[in-house]
Amino acid sequence: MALAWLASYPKSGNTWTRILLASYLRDRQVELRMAQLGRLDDAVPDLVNVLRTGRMLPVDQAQPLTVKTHFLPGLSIHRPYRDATTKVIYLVRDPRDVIPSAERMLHVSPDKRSAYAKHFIDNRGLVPWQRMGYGLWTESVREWTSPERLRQYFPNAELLVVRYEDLKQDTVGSLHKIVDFLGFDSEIDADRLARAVQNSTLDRMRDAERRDDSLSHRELKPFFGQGLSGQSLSGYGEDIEEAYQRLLREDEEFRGLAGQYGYAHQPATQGR
Amino acid sequence: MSSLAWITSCRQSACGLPRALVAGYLLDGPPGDISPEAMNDVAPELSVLFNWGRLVPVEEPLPALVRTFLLPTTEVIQHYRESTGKVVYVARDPRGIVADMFRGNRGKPEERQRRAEQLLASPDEKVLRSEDAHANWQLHAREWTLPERVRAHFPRLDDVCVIRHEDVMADPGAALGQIVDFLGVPGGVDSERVRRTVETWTPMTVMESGVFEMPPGMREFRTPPPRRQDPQFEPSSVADVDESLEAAYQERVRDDAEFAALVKQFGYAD
Repeated sequence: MALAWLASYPKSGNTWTRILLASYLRDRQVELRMAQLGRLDDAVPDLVNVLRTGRMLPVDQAQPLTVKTHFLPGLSIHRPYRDATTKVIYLVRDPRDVIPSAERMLHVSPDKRSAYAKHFIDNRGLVPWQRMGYGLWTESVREWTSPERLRQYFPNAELLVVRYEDLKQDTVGSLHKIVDFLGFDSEIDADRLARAVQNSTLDRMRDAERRDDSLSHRELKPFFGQGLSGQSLSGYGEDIEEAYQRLLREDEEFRGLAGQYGYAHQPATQGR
Repeated sequence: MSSLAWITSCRQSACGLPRALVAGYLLDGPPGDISPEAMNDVAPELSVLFNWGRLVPVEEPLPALVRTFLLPTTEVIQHYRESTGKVVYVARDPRGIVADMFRGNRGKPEERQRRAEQLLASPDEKVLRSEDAHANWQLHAREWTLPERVRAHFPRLDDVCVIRHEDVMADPGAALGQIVDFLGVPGGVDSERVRRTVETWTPMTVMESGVFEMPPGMREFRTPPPRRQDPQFEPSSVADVDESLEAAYQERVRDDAEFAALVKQFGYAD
């Protein structure tokens, strides 16, 4: 029995990592259909998408099936897989960059951007997502990355935490770590890794999204953004950046988790 | 042990309305006062429940009923094989479903045609293997309503209640009372509460309430869409069906005894 979760708070690089992994496993570029992003590729499925089609996850494969989830580990949707889960990869991203990325995806009105960003900072994440079971940013990071907490839900699981920023800066190296952790191959083929990365660059994803007509009848903002890191929140208003700095100073848990993953720094003006 | 109750129908047979009415009856408040979480507690849609990271609980407190389009043969529904006690099946004239598919020219024409053909097709091996087998009218009706089939899927089944979509639309209060009675809701059917529910849970009030908004609470940060001037909540008529699809339907009635028996049983044989 083997199952691996690819878990994250939303907008933290989960879809990109799925594409990278699927490209590696298939050794070809993944076909991107925006209307079926949940499905994407059966090699690295989305938990909700699998269940919605009436299937449960197979847990009898020799190699772990890697499955996307945004939900907190303790939710009932994960419960049938408690014992089958042997690996957990948690993707973490600077909340400064999650805020603008989620804003685009959630269709926040231009005149409500500041209120939205303030809501995120005041609550340490989005309450609408918390209600859906994703938790707040702090809850998600804490529940998935604290070994003691994680073991309560998945007693047989090993954990690998991957920072989005590292994935972006050294994609080949990060994918190597992930593939090695999942135990897909006894010897990892460096050329295949390089091809998978080449086939999955953000530029390629954005091009594929532009060419795809599966959602052409809907006015949607692009799913794949610029993938920026370390952005200042001053674009939402100086008070928003100040509120974020205050959160870092005054909220012990937030400061601890942000600091643990290198997110307690001063922002770059334009992002990287 | 308490048991689960499903409310199900083939896609676009609008079992969402009776499901919402049951939720409204149980929660006894207008949709604007009801949270998505409360809906999920009493009468969830299965796939929506997955979006909330939840499975249907099989221990108390159980929801009164759970809506699904899936076939009872699927792994997910079979996960509740031993827990299932009741089934409410909402039947609808397949020609009305087809007419709804084509109304308003939604989606690509070839996709609408493919879906209509899938709906009316004989449930052969190709249909059974397809990912949208649940969108085949005959297969869905057979697996959820023929007693020997349903009992094979759910050995602890108590009973199946079939209601017609057309009857729900004609008299929602009567349909709601029938379902509440069938479910054995404590206190029985309260006719005043039924009246209140039907009055307050209309498609328009439900749509405006945000009870199905995802993610819940995001409207605070969004500009509300312009209010629809002409909401087409009336179901399409079977008379709206294209001639070729009507011919395909009549051919199925003529050539397939099971299909003919099902449409006759539900009163769609004319």
